[in-house]
Amino acid sequence: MKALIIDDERLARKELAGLLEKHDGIQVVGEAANAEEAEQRIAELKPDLLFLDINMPGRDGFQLLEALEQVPHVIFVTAYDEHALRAFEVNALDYLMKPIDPNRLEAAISKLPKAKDGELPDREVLGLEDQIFLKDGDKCWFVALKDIRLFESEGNYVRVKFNDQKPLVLRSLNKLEEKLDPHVFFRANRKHILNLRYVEKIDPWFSGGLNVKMKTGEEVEVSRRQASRFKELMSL
Amino acid sequence: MTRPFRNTLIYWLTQVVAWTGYVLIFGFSMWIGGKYTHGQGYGLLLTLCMGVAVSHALRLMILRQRLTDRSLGYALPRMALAAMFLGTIAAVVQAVLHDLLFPNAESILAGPLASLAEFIISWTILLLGWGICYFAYHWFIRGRREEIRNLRLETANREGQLSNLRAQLNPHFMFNALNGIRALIDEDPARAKQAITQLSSILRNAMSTVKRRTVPLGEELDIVKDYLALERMRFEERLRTRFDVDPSLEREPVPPMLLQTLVENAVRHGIARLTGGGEVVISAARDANGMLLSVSNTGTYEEGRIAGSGIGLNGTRRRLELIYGNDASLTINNRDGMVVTEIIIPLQPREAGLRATLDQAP
Repeated sequence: MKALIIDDERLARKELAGLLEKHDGIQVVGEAANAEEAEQRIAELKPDLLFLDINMPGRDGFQLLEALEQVPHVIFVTAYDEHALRAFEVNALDYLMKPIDPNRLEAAISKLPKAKDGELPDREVLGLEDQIFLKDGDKCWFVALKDIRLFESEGNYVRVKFNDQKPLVLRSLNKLEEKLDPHVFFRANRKHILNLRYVEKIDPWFSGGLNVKMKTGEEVEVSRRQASRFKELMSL
Repeated sequence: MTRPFRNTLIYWLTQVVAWTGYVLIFGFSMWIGGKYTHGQGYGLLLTLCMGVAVSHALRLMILRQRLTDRSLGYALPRMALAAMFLGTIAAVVQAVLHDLLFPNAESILAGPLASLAEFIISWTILLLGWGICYFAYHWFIRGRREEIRNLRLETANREGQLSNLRAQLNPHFMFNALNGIRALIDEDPARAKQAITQLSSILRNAMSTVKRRTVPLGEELDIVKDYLALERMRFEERLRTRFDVDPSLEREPVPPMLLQTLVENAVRHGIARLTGGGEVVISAARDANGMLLSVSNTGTYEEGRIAGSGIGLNGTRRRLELIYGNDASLTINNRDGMVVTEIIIPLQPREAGLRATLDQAP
């Protein structure tokens, strides 16, 4: 498993890298001192795992994750930050406290799903198992795309509906559409992208449009322009 | 309604009500005795106006001489003298007005001297009574203010002790430092040993400052240096520090943790937030108003932007006010790309303030 260490302190990165030497399954492929560097390294090195310090100059760890289109596994690291600790606890995230206890590190690593070789193939769109990171106020989620049934734009924000959650995040629906698998996620109209796997019923609607009923009860209108493409996709 | 305006309003209301009450009682007693005539109604109205005017003059004299701030032995004879002086004026003025307004009535000025003297004495006694009430009110208010001030000082000291301890044992700093030392043990064992010594002296200082009201500036600077050395271990080239201290000030007493709090703020809210890092400059110099302590860091200060930093500054400001009254100041400014925090404290701290802190020490 390829790991990237993100921490603004050199000594802290060194210390963690030293601790990770004992773990054969983890291979530290790089380090980054801030969010910008981290984004570059992630794009270059495609790590499967991030060790991420929350307190960094410029953008913090959460802000970095929000900017990533595709989020690897994350183990958070912090010395002592009441705010971050509360976020970890509230959202049941995996975290380590500095100085890092080797036993706790081992426990955190053992909880990671076993890596398959070449797990992340290079591709333009995101797979269904890929996860994204969402944060709304104090709450945050790592959510696999397959669990998301609907993206709904609200001004500059997008409401993401999955399970019983519907956080509001600062994203653009058009950008999202480019990255999502077109065989699963369908742009129904100007305001909605829906997951075809959650469609229950389709009814004809005014002026050539369609009305889609989701398994969870929501109804989404498919515009006339998109209706024929939609029928095409659904007949497959 | 602003406070001074409200106080003025209360003063005038009290004046009018009290003098009206006095005049009514006086008139009533005359009426009961069957001595009340129509003309005396005007006389009473005159007394009312004279009373308000003369007692206001007495108040101005008391305020101008700051008699309420002085001891009883000093203030009372002077107030009595003023009351006598004003009482004489009031009696004469009233007599003249009386004679002018009521030419048909018995003249006071032309009458026997005793009746004028009686007038003077009664006015003097009236004003004396008024002055004593005024003093009593002031002492009562001052006593209450003193009590509140003492309570606030006590709470601030308690809070100060707690937050000192917490600030020095600032867990974020502590654990990061320990983590850094862990890495240094392999990389640079000598530096790791030194770091442990520095951490120890910070810990020891945190345990002892709670008990002390002042420390020599030099001692405070030693702690600041240890602290900065540990932060430099973490931030490395991102943290640059510079000291510019007048050596003759090193034995001057300063409240413990005062400078340290500012330096911690500068690192935590300034340097730690800059990807490229920056500089922290600590200086101490003599100033026309005492000692000028200043801590500058690279960055810009925007009020209210950084949660938590305001609380530290407010705490420091309150501490200064409680120890030095109005003789100390704390300002924060942006200057040439640096955030400059400046504290001015008197070189010889006021006895009262110091005693107050001493009394509160455990």
